Amino acid sequence: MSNTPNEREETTVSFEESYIDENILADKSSKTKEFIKKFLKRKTAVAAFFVMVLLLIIALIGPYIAPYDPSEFDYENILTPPTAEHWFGTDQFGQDIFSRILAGAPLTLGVSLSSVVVGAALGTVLGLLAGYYGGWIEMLVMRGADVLFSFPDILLAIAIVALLGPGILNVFIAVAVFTVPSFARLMRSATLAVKGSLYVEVAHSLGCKDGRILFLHIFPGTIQSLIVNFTMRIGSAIMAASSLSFLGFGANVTDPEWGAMLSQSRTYLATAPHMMYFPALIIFVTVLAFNLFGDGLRDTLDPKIK
Amino acid sequence: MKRTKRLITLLLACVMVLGLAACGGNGGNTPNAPANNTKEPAANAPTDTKTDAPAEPAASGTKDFVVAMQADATSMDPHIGSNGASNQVLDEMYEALLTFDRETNVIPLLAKSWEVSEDGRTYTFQLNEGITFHDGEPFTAEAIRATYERGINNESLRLYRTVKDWEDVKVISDYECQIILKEPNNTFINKITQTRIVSPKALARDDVDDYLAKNSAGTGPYVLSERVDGGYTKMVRNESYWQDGPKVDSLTFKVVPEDAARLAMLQTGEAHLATPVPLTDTATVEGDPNLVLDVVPGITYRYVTLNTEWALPDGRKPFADKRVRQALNYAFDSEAYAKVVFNGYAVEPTSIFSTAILYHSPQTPYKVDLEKAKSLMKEAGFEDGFDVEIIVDNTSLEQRGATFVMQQLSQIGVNVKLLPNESTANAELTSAPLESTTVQMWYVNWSSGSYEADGSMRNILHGEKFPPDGYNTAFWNNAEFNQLLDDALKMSDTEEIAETYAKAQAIAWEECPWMFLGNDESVSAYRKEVSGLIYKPGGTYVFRTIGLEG
Amino acid sequence: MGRYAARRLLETIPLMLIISIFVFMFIHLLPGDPARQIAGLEATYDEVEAIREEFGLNKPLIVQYFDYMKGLLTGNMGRSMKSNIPVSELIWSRFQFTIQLVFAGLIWAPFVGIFIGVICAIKRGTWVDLGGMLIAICGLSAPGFVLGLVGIQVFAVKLGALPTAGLESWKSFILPSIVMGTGIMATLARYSRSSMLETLREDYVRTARAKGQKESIVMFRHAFKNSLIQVVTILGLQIGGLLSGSVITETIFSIPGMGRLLTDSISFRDYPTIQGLLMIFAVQYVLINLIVDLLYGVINPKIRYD
Repeated sequence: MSNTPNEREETTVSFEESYIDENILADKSSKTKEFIKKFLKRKTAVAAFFVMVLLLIIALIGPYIAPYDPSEFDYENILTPPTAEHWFGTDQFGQDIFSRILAGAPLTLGVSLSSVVVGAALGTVLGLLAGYYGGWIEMLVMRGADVLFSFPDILLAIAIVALLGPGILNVFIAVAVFTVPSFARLMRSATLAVKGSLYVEVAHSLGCKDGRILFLHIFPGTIQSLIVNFTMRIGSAIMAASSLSFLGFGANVTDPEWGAMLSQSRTYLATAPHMMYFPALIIFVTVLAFNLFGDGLRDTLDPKIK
Repeated sequence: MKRTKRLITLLLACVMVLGLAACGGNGGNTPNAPANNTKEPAANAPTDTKTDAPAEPAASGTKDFVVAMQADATSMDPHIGSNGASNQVLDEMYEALLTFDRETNVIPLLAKSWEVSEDGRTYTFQLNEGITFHDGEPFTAEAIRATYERGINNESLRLYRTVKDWEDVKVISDYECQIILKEPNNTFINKITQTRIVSPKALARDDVDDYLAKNSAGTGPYVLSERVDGGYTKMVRNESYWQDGPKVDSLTFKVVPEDAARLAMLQTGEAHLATPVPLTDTATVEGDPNLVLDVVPGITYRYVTLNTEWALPDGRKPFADKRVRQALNYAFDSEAYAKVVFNGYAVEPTSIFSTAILYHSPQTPYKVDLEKAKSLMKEAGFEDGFDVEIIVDNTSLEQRGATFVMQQLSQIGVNVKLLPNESTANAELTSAPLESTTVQMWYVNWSSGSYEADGSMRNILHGEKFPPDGYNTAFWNNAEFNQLLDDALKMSDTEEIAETYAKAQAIAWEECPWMFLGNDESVSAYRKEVSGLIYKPGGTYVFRTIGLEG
Repeated sequence: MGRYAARRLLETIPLMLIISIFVFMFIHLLPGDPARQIAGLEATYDEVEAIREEFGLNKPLIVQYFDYMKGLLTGNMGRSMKSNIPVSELIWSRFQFTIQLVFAGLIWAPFVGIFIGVICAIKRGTWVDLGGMLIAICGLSAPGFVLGLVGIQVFAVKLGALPTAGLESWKSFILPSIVMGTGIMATLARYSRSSMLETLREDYVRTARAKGQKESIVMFRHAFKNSLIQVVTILGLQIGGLLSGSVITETIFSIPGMGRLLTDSISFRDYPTIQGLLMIFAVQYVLINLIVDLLYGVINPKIRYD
C-alpha cells in the first residue's frame, strides 16, 4: 500500500490492534467441532456451501449426464429458444446450451479455481515473506507488484498467446499472474499488523524459528482477509475469462467455457437472448455461492462475533 | 492544526491530479466542444491556418449526416491510410483522376477523358477545368506531378506502391498530362482510381506530413473540420465544389466498434447510416419502418489455404495431392456456411474471386458430396484422415467460420484444430518463408481494393509470391498459371485480357490450392430519410450527393 | 507531509525506469511488427524492410531503447507509427475521455458500495445483510459488456431515454457510469462490510459502547472511520485498474479513450504509443498510491509521515 513500507510498518501497527485472538492457538479437536457448530448457524453460508457442492458434483459428472453431445452441430436447429427438447435452447451452431453448460462446468470451475489457488498461494507466500522480513525482500516483492499492477492484463494475455498458443491455458496463466500482486499486498499489510502483536513478540523471545512463527502464528492471523479476497477472486476469475474472450484472447470458441459462452452470446442479444441468460445465470449462482460461503467462513473464524 | 495542514496538502495533491482532468474535462461536458486533437499543444505549434469553417455547434437547421463505421481511418494523410475505413473517409475529401461506378466500370472524375498509347505505356489525360483545392490552389496538371513526386520519394507511403511502376509524369499543358509507365500494365487504370491528388501548394510545405495529417488539401465535396483519432472524423461541405455536391452541411464518420451499438445508433437516429450491420440482426432492420436494409454483392472472398508442402509426422504431404484438396472442397457445404456463419448473407463461390471483380469467369462449383470426398481421400491413401491445424484471426466472425470448417472436415476424418490469434501475430506466422513456415491451413479472406483480377490473384497464388514476398501460403506454384497472369498484365485489349484471366481461373479452380468457402455480401442499413447515396462496387458508399429529407 | 510527498515522487523514478525497460523488451518481443502493418498486405519483402529501416526497427533493441529514452528525456514521446500523430498529443486527447469515464464511475460507486457494506455489517446476519450482498454479488458477476449492451437495448433502443454512444450530454454519461462503477461498487461493498466487521469488535469500539455513547456515534466516529483505511486502499487499486481497464466500456459506448487506444496500438504494434501509454499508466498508478497514502493521514491523524 505504501511505497515506503518501513515507515508504514510502525504507523500501521500503532493504530491497528492485533487481529488475533489467542483462542486460535487453543487445542485443535474441540476447535474444529466448535467451528462446525458455529458455521452451521449461518444459514445462508450453509446454503451456499450446498450450492458449491452441487456445482462440484456437476463439474464431476456434468459431461456424462449431458443430454446432447455439447460439440455436436445441428444446422436445422440454430438459435432455437428453450423448448422441451432443448431446455436452455441452442446456440449459433445448433449446439444444446444446457449440455454445454454441464460440459463446461469442469473447465470453467477448474480454470478459475486453480488459477486463483495458484495465484493466491504465490501471492500469500510472497506477501508473508515481505511483511515479515522487510528489507530487500519486501522491496523486491512490492516493486514487482507495482510493475504488475500498472501493467494492463490484455498485454500479458497477448504475450502468453504468442508464447504458448491460444486456448484455456492462456486464461489460467493470465488470471493466476494477476492474482499474485493483490494477494501479496494484502498479505503483507495483514502480516505487518499481526507481526507487532504481543504473542508474536512472545514467540520470538521464546526463540521460535522464523518459519514456525510465520506459518503457525502470523499466517492464521491473516486468514480472514485472505478468505474474503479469495472467494471474491473466484468471481473475478470467471469475469476475467469472459472479458478476455470479449477481446479475443479467451478460451477457444469450441470450448464450452461459461465466460466464453457469455461473451459469444452478445452478438445475439437482440435475436436470441436466451444465449445470454443461461450462462449469465450459472455464473451468477457460482459467484454468489462462493462469496456467501466466504462470508460465512470469515464470520465463523472471527472469534469476536458470536 | 497539524491535521488541517495535512488536509490542505492532500487537497493540493488531489488538485494536481484532477487538475489535469479538469483542463480536458470541457471536452465532454459541453456538447459541442469535443476534445479536438487537431488543436496542437505548444510543443508542435502549428503554422497552418484553418481553411475551413471552425467547428460550429450543430445548431438547429444545420444538417449533419452521421455514419457509424466499425473501424477508424488510420490517418488523414491521403497517401498513408490504407484500410477500408481510410479509403471510405479519405475519398470524400480527395479525388483521383478516375473512379468506379457501381458495375466496376472506370469512369472520369478529375480527368474528363483519357487514352492509351499503342505500346500501352503512355496514358494521356485531359483534365477538367475550374476545379480548386481546399486550400484555394487551382487544380492543374502540376498537381499530378507533385503527387507523383511525393510518392516516388518516400517509400513508406502507400502511394509509393502505385507510383513505383511509373517512369515519369509529363505536364503537357495546364489541363493535359501524360503518365508514362515502366512497362505496360493492365491494372494501371484501376490503380489510378486510388491515387488521391493533393494540392501542390500543400505538398510544397516544409511540414507537409503534419499539415496533411490535420488538414484536407484535396478537391473533394467535403473539407476536414475536426477529428478525434479513434472517435470521429467530421467534415463540412466544400462550398466551392466543382460538381453537384451534398445537400447536408456536414458529414461525420463515427467509429462504433461494437456491432450491436452500431445498429442501436441507427435505430435511435443517432446515426443515419451504419456499415456493416451485424448479420444476425438484419431481421431487426427489416422490421423497423424507419430503416432500409442494403445488401450488395461484396468483394471479399473467403478461403482456406492448404499448404501443399506441409508434411505429416510420417512424412506424407496430404495437400500435395490434388485429390485431397478436392476432397476437402467436396466435403464443404457452402450453402450451410452462408446460413450458419453469415445468416444467409453470403453466396456460393463461383470462382477464386468474387463476381464484383473485373474479369470474373464463372466455374462449376464444388457441390457438397461426402461420398465423392471420401472416395477421393481413399484414392489418395488418406481414408483414415489426418490431424491438421488451422490459423485464424481471433475475431468472433472469423472464429465462427473456422469452427464451421472444422466441423465440416470432421465428416471425412480430417481433424482440424483451431489456432485463433490476433491478426498481427498471424501476419507474422503467415509471412514466414517456406523453410520455417508453420502454416498448415489458414482461414482468411482477400479483397482487392482496386477491383482488378491481378490484384485478386497475384499476391496469394502466383508462384513468385511465396512468403515473405506475398501471401501464397498454399506454396502452390503452377507454371502455366503464373505465365497467364504475367502475360495478361502486359495486354491492353480487354477481350484478350478476359480470356487469359478466364484460363487462369479455370486452372486454379481445378487445382484448388484452397478450400473455396464463399463470398459474403456487404450488408449496411440506413434511415429512410437518407437520399442521394452513390455506390461503388463491394458496398462502398460515395456521399457526394447525399441529403436528409424532413 | 510535503517533504514526504516529494520524496515519494522521487522514489518512483527507479520504478519508472524498470517499467520502461520491462515494457520495451516486452512489446518488442511480441510476434509481429508495425512495418508490415504500415506497408499493407500487397507490399513486397523489400518494401517492408525499407520501412523497418526508416523507423529504425532493424537496429539492435538496446540501441532502440536508448534512442527512445533520449527522446523521452527531452520530452519527446515519439510519433504514432499508425497515425503519425505525436504520441503525447494522441494520449492527451484520449486521456480526457477516459478520465471523464473514471469520474463518471467514481461519482456514485464508492459511496453506494461503502454504504451497502456498512449497512450490511451493522445488520449482519439479517435479510438486509443478505439483500445487500446479493446486490454486490450481482455487480461482481455481471461483466461490463453484458451490462452495457443490455443497458443500450433497454434504455436507448426500447425506451429511447438515453443515447447509445459518446459522452456529449449528461444523459450519455449514465450508462457508461453504471458500467464503470458497478465493479467498484460491488468490490467496495464486500470489503467495507468485512473491514467494518473487523473494527466493530475492536476494543475501542467496545469501550465506546460501554461508556454509553450513542450507537450512531459509535458506528460513525469509531467503527466506520477506522474501517475506511482498508477501503481506501482497495479503492486506490480499483481506480488504477479503471484507468487502464476501461477498454470494454469504451468499446461498447464508442468512446475514444485510452483503453481502446491501447488495444488498437497493441494490435498495430504501434510501439511508441504502447510505450507511452504504459508509462502514463505507471505514473497514474504511482500518483494514486501517493494520494491513498496521504488519505490514510487524513482518516487517522495518528499516522505520521516522516
